[in-house]
Amino acid sequence: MTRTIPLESIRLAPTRDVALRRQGIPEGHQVSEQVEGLLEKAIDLYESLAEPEGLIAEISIGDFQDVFTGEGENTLPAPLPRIVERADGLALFAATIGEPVSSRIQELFQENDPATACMLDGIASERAETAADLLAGAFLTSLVECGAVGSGAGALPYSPGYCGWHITGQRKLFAFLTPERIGISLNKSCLMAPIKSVSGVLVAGAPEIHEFENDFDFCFDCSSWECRTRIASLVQVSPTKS
Amino acid sequence: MEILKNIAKSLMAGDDQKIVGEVKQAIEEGIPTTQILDDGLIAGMNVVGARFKVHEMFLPEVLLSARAMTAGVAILKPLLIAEEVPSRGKVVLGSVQGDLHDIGKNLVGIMLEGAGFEVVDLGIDVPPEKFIEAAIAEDASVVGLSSLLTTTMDIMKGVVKLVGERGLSEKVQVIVGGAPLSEEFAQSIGADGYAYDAANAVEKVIALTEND
Repeated sequence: MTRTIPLESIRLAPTRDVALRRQGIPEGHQVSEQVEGLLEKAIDLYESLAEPEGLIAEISIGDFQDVFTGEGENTLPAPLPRIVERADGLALFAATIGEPVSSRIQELFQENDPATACMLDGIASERAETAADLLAGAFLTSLVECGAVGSGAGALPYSPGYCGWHITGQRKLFAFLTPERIGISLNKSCLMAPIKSVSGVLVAGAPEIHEFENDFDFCFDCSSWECRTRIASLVQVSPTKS
Repeated sequence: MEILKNIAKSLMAGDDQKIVGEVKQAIEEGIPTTQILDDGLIAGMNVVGARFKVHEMFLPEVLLSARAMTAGVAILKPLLIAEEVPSRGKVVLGSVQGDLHDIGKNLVGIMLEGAGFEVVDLGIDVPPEKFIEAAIAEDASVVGLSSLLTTTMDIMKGVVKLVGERGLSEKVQVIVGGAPLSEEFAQSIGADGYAYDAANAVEKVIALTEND
């Protein structure tokens, strides 16, 4: 069953500290009046332009394996197949912050205002990631309510384009989920528009199913290792009412 | 000269309005255009880059300085063209095919322009062939490739390979950057350089072009 998820809470910008951290400014650092002004402007822009929407659709492990296989371009072995095998529930998801924010970011660059553009971009990126976490929370809540998972379960989002799941996997994901209904489209390179959109699979189950050693082939070419932070943060993804 | 110091200071402060008046004043004082650019604007931007590197300045402040730089260069540009002053070099930039993340690439472009380079920004989702065509058409000495997705990193390898196949390796240097990349990755695909951030990209491009 496919359902839209209200994402009203991310119509608001993140906290000041979160927004500044996105710009590489450490917590507690005294910023100039100019930077405060930029932050205020970017927050105002975000809150006046954001049109967040989210969508999830439960999917069986068998159907997901077909989505994951995509067009056969994945770098294998990859962690996701093993994680999914041990999951209690799966759902494809997509969320967007909407076209107006993405367009405004591009306009700001064209208007020679890269500082505001980057501040707004950082805020929108953080909100898009938060949207994925909110969808994970909503999915987890629905599983808890129907008794499919225990109260200690967690859920994490995984997206095409990362950790061996090739970006061409988006085509089958879109065919199953149809995020076009919330205004997200896919171009010929499998990139989403609006730019500030996220998609992937939500994997729910015991927290330990998400643990994996980062020694896959592609891990050696990766320097961000965000997977480590995501796994560590799992305990913070708690069920929320949708 | 005092006015050049003031231009550098205004640039460091990211004051794009003040800098316009100061650049105009320097022109009226008869200071050579290249000196205003080198000893005022670029000198200020060099300090900004150095302070950014040691975390004394942060991204928003650097970008305010970049905006001031653009405002100052806009005043000088007609004079630089009239005087046929050569640029420091031309760089073709783009996010590789399959990748739409462009903030890092945009920052590199802004910082390179601030350092006196001409930048040809091909945008996002750029196929390998397009990088080569642009490098030839624009007579660029450096091609900069950006990628944020691990699964699009192979496209970078394709661009480096094409540069070799077209016999451009001696003329065109390839530099790569993006969150999932590393120096080791750059070396493994045969790229000429790797940059871990926008300021570092400028340093690397300067080093690559000076070695030409």
